[in-house]
Amino acid sequence: MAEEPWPAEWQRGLLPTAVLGAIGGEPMYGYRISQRLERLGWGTITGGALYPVLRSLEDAGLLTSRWEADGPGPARRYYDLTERGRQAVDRRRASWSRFSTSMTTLFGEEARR
Amino acid sequence: MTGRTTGSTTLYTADLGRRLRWRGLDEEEIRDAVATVEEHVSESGRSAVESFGRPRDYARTFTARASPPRTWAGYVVGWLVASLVGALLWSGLDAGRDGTEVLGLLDPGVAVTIAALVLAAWAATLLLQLTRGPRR
Repeated sequence: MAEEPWPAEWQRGLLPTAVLGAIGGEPMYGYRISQRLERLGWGTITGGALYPVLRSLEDAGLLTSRWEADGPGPARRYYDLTERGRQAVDRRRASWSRFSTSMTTLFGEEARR
Repeated sequence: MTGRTTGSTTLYTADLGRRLRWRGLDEEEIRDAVATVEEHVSESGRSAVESFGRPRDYARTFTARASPPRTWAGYVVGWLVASLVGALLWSGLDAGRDGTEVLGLLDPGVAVTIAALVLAAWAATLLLQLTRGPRR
């Protein structure tokens, strides 16, 4: 049985953080980022959802991008973390742990009632 | 999966390009947006509409990053000239009705002809600028 998709507002709110995490240590092009997220349970990330996030992260100075023609098809735009982007990932990783603990505690208390 | 750009993708990107130009994006930003659509469609094997939604909706996710289009000075001068020529046309028609000359110098028929030609050229240029497909 397929798992129920995550609530849409989680996906919308957390997509920028997930994209930063997905790019992580190596430059990636858009479709590969969406595939990585899909494998991790995010469902289909359309181009219409992904690229506006990539643009806003790039505008915020967290990502940099470059075009590379490395095959017979159209060139690929590779995205990579900037130094600010790496720092942002580190900060979000630390915050996530506290956030996750907080939510687990809340849901745990709710289940016990 | 990679493939060639299909006809439907070309139609999509042409429409997207026009809409982005209306939104004030410069040519480099438009080329990037178009190339991104082509890349994603080629990689995913899904159509541009499936991947990005309608061109109108996807175009709304863009805002011009930097300055207004580099041709903004051209637009300002164009509108200024069009306004002056519009005044010449009006004066020409007025003078024609009264049987006088425009500003005491110009035959009304000549003034109206010049003004109409310049206005037509300006309108055609403006239309071409706003509706042409993305440059390669």
